[in-house]
Amino acid sequence: MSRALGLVDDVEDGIPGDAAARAEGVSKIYGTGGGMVKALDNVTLSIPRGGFTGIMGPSGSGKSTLMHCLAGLDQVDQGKIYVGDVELTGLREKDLTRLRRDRIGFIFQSFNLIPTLTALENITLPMDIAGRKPDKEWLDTVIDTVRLRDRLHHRPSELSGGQQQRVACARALASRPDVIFADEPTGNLDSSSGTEVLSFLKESVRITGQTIVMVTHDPTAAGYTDNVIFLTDGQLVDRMKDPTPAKVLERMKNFEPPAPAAQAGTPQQGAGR
Amino acid sequence: MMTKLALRSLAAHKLRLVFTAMAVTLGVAFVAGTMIFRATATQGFDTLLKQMTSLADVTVEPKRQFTTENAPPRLIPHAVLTDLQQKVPDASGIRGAVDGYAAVLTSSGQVVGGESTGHVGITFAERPGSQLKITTGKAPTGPEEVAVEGRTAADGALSVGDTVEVQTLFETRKMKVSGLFDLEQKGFSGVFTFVAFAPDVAQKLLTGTDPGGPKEYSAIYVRSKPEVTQAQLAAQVRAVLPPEYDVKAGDDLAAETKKEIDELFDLLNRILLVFAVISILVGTFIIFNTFTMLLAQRTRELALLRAVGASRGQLTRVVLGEAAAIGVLGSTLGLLGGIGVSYGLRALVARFGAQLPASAPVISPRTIITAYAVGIVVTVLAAYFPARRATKIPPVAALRDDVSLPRKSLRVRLIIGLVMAAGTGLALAGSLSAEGEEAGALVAVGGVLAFITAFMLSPALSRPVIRVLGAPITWITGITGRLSQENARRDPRRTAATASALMIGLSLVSMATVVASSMNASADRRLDREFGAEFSMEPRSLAGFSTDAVAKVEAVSGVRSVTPVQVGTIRITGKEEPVVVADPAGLAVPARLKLEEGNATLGTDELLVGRTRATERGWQLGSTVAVQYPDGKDATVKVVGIFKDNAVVTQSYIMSPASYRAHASGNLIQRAFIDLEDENLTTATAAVKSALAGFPSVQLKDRQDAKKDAREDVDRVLNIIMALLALSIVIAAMGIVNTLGLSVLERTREIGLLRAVGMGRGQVRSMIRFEAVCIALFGATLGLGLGVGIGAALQRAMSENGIEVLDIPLDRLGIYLLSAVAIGVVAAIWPAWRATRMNILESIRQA
Repeated sequence: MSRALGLVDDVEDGIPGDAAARAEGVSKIYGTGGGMVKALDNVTLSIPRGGFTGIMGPSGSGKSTLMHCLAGLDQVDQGKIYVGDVELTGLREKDLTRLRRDRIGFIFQSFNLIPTLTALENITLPMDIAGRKPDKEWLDTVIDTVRLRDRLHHRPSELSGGQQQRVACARALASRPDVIFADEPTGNLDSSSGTEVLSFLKESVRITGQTIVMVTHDPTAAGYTDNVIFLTDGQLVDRMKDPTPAKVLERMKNFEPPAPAAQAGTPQQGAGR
Repeated sequence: MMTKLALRSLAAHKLRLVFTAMAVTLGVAFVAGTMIFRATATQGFDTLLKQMTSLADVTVEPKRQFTTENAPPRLIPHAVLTDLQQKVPDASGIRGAVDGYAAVLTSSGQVVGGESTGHVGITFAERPGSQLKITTGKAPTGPEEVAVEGRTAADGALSVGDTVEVQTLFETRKMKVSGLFDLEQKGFSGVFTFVAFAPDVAQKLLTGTDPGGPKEYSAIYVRSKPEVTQAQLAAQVRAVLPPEYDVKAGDDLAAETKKEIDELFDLLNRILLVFAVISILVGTFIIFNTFTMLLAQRTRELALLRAVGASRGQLTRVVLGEAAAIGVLGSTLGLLGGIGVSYGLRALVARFGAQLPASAPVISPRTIITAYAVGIVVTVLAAYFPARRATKIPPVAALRDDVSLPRKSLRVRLIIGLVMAAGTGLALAGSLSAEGEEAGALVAVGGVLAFITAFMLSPALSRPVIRVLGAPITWITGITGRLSQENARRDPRRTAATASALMIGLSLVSMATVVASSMNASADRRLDREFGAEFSMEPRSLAGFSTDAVAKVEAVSGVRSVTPVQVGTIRITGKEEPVVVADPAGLAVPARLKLEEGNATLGTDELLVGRTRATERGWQLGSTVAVQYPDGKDATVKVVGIFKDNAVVTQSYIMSPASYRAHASGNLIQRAFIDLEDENLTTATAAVKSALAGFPSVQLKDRQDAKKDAREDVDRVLNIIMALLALSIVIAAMGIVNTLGLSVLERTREIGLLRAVGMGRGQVRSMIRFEAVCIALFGATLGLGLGVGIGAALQRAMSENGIEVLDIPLDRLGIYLLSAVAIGVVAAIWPAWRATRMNILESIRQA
């Protein structure tokens, strides 16, 4: 938490070692000509290692696109992306896949699990794909943290929505990736399950030093993070350390579309919600 | 509006459309191909027949007793010709012709044109309007000269000046090719082989009579004056001739021949249609499965239509409309494919030695109507049940998040399956204690029930069986294999329907294989037991070989005995049957012929009968049988002995040479057994071989060769059955492609997620490939199980009828299993490619 200072500054100071992931002058454009939309417009930022970072913004602000680019799921049109000290931009598909497998964890809003596999198999899936043996001790710790011990041999269809999302969290944590990207992880959950999931994420950052990046448009969810990046119309507009739901909400209110952004932001973007 | 909806929906999913249509296409192609093949062949023969009748308006032939080719011909004396010349006023030309069997052997002893093609020898006569035209060289003149028809020469790579061996029913003679000629009726070229001799030579070689003696003919051709009809002329000729001559108007002769050909093709067609129906049945599975999946993916859309007021009937009609459109597309492609299939069938028939006259493919209106009717009806019918179920969806489902079709439990299927299984068990158990035809019938019933059982139980079986089959894959590949196995087990009905399609083809193939292999093993065993001679001399052509060869071998030192055997033809109770003309005592050693009843000395008009045939006809010692000899004489012969069925003497009747030859003119030998002195085996063998060097028409065969011959016949039939079933297996493979392709679409998000958490493209490909292999292996396991089971039951039922040994060829069955794996791998290529091409982000976002 203490490292949550100066997001952009790290990069400018040229100390990339402290960032779990970085974006340098990243732009992403959808469509051409009149229908052209700048989903990301020259974004430069750094995700601090061992922190819980929130990416916030109104619908269509480019926050999901940013996350997808950082995670190597989407290509950028300009700029560079680093995960740790590896530059993603320019990597071949095969290396990108390996990078995602070995160094990145994912939690999606919905449809997070493979229905044919049990909870435990879902948790160890990335390691199984890589053909690695899971660290038994660490696996036990993770399973206990998400309190799934008695549900390990159930299929996803036999689990509640909250339980399924906890399995997804456990899967992301189990392989100890450099960064976990969570895309609206509580979007499909009722509030008590949502609170539960957010608490895990916060806890795992505090206890194990896991780096987590979470995209959300919910100020309450953002309140669990260490620092929040605000995005509007594809541009990084602000950041906030130790946010609270009230502070975030207040900040969001100020994002009523300013005059110059209107032309770029109004058309519907393909990315994010 | 509903039509528009159906068309829009089709247009939106072109690829699915094509794949579903392919299943229809292949089945229709088979049906259409069979019909085109038939029509084409018929037309070819019609052309041929027209040319045949152009020879003469009326043909006179001795009444033919036998259609068998090597039955010796009967001849018309010259007096008949002069009689006709004097007494038929409306004849404009009367000609006696000498023709008959004549095969050309190359220097290596091969019969030009193959052994099962017709071989015709004719008289070369140059006269006004002659049908024969020399193209190269000159006409044959002396006793050593022969002219060869152009196509025949090409087949045998013969040219003018070559020395060939010409074999007729009466003689084998070395001759020089004097020239090549063209037939006037070119349609016959390639269907038969033709050689022509000078008139005197033709008479000697083809009729066996001396040119110096009275002239005799094999046929007389009569032409009519312009205004006289064929019927009138025929009546005039008939009035002149005694009743032992057949007088036929050209058109009647053509009609008669056409009828014979039609009957043959009717039979062939019926066999081919059985296989076509199998292909269509397999296709039906695929269409059914595809529609089930397509509709499952469209439940929300259907529910929405219901919510906005469409009735169930309307929705069903939309779906059936789509099915009909696919049926039309599939039938159109199938009709085109049928042309290809017709060529394939032609090639297949050619492998059996039947050369068909060449002709462009004939597509009759009936073929077109049948193709479309079959394609559309089958598609609509196969789509009907999925459509009914899909439209049961309640309108509110459109508003719910997770929509799925109502599904009946598998219990009903399971119960029906178990009842059928019990029936199968009873029928097969019953067949064990039954005998003969009864056992065969019980096996047939059991076989059909077994198929229904397998189909009914396949969904229930799919989960446990695939777990076992997939275990090695999972063990080796870890999570990828585990996922594919789970995917294959996920929807038992879908997997079962896909696998069942493969099961049908493979079960029939393996059943045929087990039966064929058992037949081979049984023949081997019997030949080991009964092939008592060192060698058997056999003709390379159908006709036989001359007694000279026998005499030559008999003279070789170290030869203990040579037993010549003539295979003749007699009509027994109205049916032409081959009869072994030999002294039964002489067959005791070389063929281990065993008499079960009666005695081995045959007198005039006495007969020995094989055990099976005697039982079939209910004959006992002393029974009398009505027969007709080749010369047309009717006689009553007595059964004086019954012999044990024999693997060397495969014919069912034995008659003494004295008795038979009194009524038949041919003197060619069809087989001779050579018994060597044991102490000089090697030298005697070499001596026999060199003695026969001058007789290229004679093949020397030992026991191993006899086994090989027996095998060849069985294997050829097996190969043809496999070729005919191949199409149904291809359709089944398409079914796997279809099922997997649609499954991949259904699992877009799942695959996206796997890719996001780090599954590489190669792993996704393997996952889908293994799934296909699991499904294919499941189908193959069911198919092989069924096929081997029914095949073994068939062998038991026929153990008294020549298939005494059960042989399950594990190597061949293993190859089938591996082929199933290969089918799975190939079928997965396209779905796997599609799966890896999906954009990860879009996949995950997809609702």
